[in-house]
Amino acid sequence: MKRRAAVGVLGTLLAGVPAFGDSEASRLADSCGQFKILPCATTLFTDHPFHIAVGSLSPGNGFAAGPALTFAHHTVPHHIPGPGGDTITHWRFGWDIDGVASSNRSWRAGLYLTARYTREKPTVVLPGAGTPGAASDLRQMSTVITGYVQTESLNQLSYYGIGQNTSRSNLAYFGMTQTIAGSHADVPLWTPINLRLFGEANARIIHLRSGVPGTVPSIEQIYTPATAPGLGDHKSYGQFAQGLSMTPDFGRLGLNYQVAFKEYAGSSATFTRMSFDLNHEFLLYGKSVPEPPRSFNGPDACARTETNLSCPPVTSSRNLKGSIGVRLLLMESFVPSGNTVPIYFMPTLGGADINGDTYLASYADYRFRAPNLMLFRVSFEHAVGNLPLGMIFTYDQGKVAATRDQLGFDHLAHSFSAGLTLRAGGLPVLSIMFAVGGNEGSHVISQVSPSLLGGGSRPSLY
Amino acid sequence: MENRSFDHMLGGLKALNPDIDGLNGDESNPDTTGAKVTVSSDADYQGQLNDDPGHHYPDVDLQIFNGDTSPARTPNMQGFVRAYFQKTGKVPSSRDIMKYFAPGQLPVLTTLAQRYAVFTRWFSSIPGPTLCNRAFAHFGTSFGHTDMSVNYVGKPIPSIYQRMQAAGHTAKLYYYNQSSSTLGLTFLLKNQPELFGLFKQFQQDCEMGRLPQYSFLEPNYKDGDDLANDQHPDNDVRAGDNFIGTVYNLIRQSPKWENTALLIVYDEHGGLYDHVSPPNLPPDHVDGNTDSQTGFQFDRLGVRVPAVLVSPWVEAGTVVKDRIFEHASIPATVTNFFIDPNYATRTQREAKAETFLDLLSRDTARPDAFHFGLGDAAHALTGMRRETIPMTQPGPGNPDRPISTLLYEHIHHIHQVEMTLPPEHQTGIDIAKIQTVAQAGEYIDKVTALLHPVAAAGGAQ
Repeated sequence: MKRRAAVGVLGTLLAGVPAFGDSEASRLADSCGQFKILPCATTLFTDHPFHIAVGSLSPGNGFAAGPALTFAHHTVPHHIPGPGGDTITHWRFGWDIDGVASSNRSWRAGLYLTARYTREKPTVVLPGAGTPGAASDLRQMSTVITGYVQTESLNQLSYYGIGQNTSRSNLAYFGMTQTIAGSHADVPLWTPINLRLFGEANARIIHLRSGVPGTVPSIEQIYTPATAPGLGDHKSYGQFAQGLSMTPDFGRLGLNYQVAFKEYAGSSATFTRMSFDLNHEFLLYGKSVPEPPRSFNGPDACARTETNLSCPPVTSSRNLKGSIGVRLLLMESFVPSGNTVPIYFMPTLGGADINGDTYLASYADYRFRAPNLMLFRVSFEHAVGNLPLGMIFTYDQGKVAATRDQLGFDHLAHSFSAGLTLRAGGLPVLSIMFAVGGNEGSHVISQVSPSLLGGGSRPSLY
Repeated sequence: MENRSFDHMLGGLKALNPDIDGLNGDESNPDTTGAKVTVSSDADYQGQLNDDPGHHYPDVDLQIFNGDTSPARTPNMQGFVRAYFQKTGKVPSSRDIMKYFAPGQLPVLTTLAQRYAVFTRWFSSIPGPTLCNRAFAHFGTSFGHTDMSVNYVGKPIPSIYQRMQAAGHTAKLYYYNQSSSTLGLTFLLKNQPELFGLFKQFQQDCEMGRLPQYSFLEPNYKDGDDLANDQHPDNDVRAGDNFIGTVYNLIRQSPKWENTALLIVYDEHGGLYDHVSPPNLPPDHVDGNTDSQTGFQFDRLGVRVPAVLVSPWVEAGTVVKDRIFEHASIPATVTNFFIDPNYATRTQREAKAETFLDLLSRDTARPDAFHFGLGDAAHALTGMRRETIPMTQPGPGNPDRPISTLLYEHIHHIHQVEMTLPPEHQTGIDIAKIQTVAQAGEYIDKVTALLHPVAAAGGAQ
C-alpha cells in the first residue's frame, strides 16, 4: 500500500515534467557532437529537466556527481476584484531532485521545492514627491517558501577539540549522516531596501559514527562525550529560525545584512543561537553583470526568469566587476544550564566549514570549532580580462570561543588567500585558492559549488 | 517607447476631456468581409497581438489609404483591419487592431497626460517602421531611409549627441540593459562609448541630481531578468506603464526636478488604429529625399503617436492640439535651446519643425506633487483615495515565445554589422535558427559584447 502511494506521488510529480525526448537529446547532440568543451559542459551540467549534478561535498569528502531532475510549473492566475481593478495572485513551483556520490562513499540525496507566490498589486497615485530612491521602483517582490528533504552521509569530518587553543596533533575523524526535512519562508516587507522577514522550521536526525580507519584516530578513540559533546547514538532535533535580511543598494555600495535567531530543541540538548552577518560590497567601477541567486530557483536550477529554465549565456554571466568587500560575522550561542552544544552544530573556522564556506582558509578544514564565533574579512575581487574568470584576494581574522565572554579581539587567527573563480553560463562556481597565514603552514582549497550559478542554496548542515 | 498609436493608448481620454482628440466610440474600419468593426475599449495588456501588426511602409500605406494608390488619393484611415488580416489570416483576430485601452488600464500614462501636457498632433515622422523614425529623433532625418537600416555611420548631419558635445554640453543615451543598446544606436556603438549609460546609472544620476543636459532613455526590448517594457506588441503593456512610472518617480524625486522636462513619446503607431489622418508637410519642410524602394518623398507624416510633456513649468491639464509635432521636433527643440536657434548643420525638415519649450510657460514651478506607488485602493492615503487608479502588475514573461517582427528584423540588421567584424570576432551563430525571444536576446547580448565591450561591462562612467 505504501509502495503504491509512493508511486502515485512520483507519478503526480513527473506529470509536470516536460518530456525528456528529442529536444533534450538533440541539444546534447548539438552541443557535444562538435567537441566544443564549454557548450557540451553547459548542456551536460545545466540542461533541464535532466542534467548531471556536480559539486563538492563537505571538505574531506570529495567531489560528487550524480543525476538531477529539475522542472517547474505555474498555477492559473487568481484574480481578486478590487475597486477599479484586480489584484492577481499566482504561484510558481520549482522542483529539484538529485542524488550525488563521491569516491570516498559519501553521498547526498535530496528533494527541494521552491514555491514563489506573487501578488501583483495595482499601481496607485500617491500624494507628495515620494522619497528619493525609495518609492521610485514599481516592480514588486514575492514571497518564497522552500521545502526540502535531504539526507547527507559524510565519511570524513575532522575534529580537533573545542576552542581556539586546540592542537593539530589532536585531530580525529568521525562520520555523520544527517537527514533534514523542513521549510523556509521568506516574506517581503519593504521594497526600497529589499527588507525581508524569514522563518524556518525543520527536523534533523543525526547519526555520528566512527571515522574511516587509517592513520588518523577515530573520534571515540581520543574523545569522550565530555570533550566532544554529542558523541554517541542517534540524535533528533527540531530547529527553528527567525530573522530579517535586507539588501539595500546605494549605487556602488551594496549591503547584505542578515540577523537570525535560531532555536535548537533536541532529545539531548537545547540551546539558541544569535547570528549577525553583515556584508558590504563596494563596486570599483560602478558596473557589474552579476548572476545572483534567483529566489525562484532550487539548487539544480539556474533560470533567469520564472518561465524559462534555460541558464544564462556565458557572455552575459561573466563576473566583470571589480569590488572590495568587508564582512563581519558573529555567532553567539545561549546554552541553558545542563545543556551543551553538540559538535555537529558548532560553527567552525579554518579551511572550509561543513557547508563549504571558506573562513581562515590557511588553516586545515574545521580547524577551530566552538559554539561561538567571530570573523572579520576584507576581500578584493576582480575580473580577468574578458574571460569568465575572477581573481579574489581575502584577508580573514577570526576566533571561536567555548563561551560568549571569551569572544574578543585578542588572539585572533589570521589568513591571507588568493585564488581564481570560474563563473559561466549557470555552471557551478569553480574556485581554487592558495592560503597562508598563522603558524600552521599553507592550504590549497579547490571547490565546486554544490548549486548551479544563479541557483538556490541547500539547507545549512548546522 | 514602441509601437502604439495615440488612440490605442490615449484615445479613451476624450470621454474625460473633450479637448483631447481621442475616440468617440463610433469610429470604425471595414474588415475583409466588409463588416463594420467599431473601436472598443477592451484591449488586453498582452496576448491580443501575438501576430505583430504590420508597420512597414506598404503596411502603413494600406492602413492610411485602404489600398487606394491613385495620384489623387486622400487618407481615410480605413485600412487597419484589412492590413492586420494580412498578418493574422483570420477575420476575428484582425478586428483586434481596433481595440484601445480604457484610461484606467494605463494609470501612469493617462495620469501624466491629464496632469501635465498631452500632444494630440504628434505624428511619427515616417509612415514606416522603428529605426527610420528613431533616426529623426537622433538626427532630424532618416537620410532617405524608410526601412530598418541600421547604418547611420558617417552621415553629413551630426546626431544631437554629437552636436551637444561639440558645443561643450553634456548628453547621454541610457539604455535599459546591454541588449537595449543595439536598437537604432549602432551608429554610435563603436565610436562613442562616453555617450552611454545603463538604466541603473540613470537612477543614480537622478538621485544625485547629475543628469546630463540632454538624456535619451531606452526601455527594455526583451524579456530577461526583467520583463520587456517597451510596449512593442506583444510585450506586456503594464511593464511599460510601470517603467514610465518609475522614470517619472525618479525625476520627480530628483533634486533637479525643477530643471527637468520629461518627454514621453512613441516611435511609431505599430500598425494600431488611429483615426486622425497624417498631414502633408508644407513644401518648405521637405528636404528632397526620395526613397528608392517606395518612391516616398518624405512629404507627409506617419500615423499619430502618444506624446506627453512632464515638467513643473507646464500648466496642469494642458492639451496641445493645434500644432503639428513629429520626431524631428526633438533635436530641433534641444538644438535651439542649448546650442543655437540658427544652427546650420541640420535638415530643412528639422529647422522647420515645431519646438515645445514654450509649453514650459509658468512663471513659477508648480507646487503640487504626486508619485506612483504600489498598493490597492484601501492603502491609498486619505484624501487621495478618489484619485487612486489601480492597475494590475504584469505577470511572468515568456522568453520562449516567438520573436516579434521587430526582433526578427533587428537581429538580421545586427547580423549585418557583425559580418563587418573580423571572422575571429564573430559569434558564429546561425541567425536562421533563432526562433524565440530568449534566443534573440542571447544573440544580441553576444554581438553587443563584441561590438562594444564597454557597454557589455556596464556602460561608460
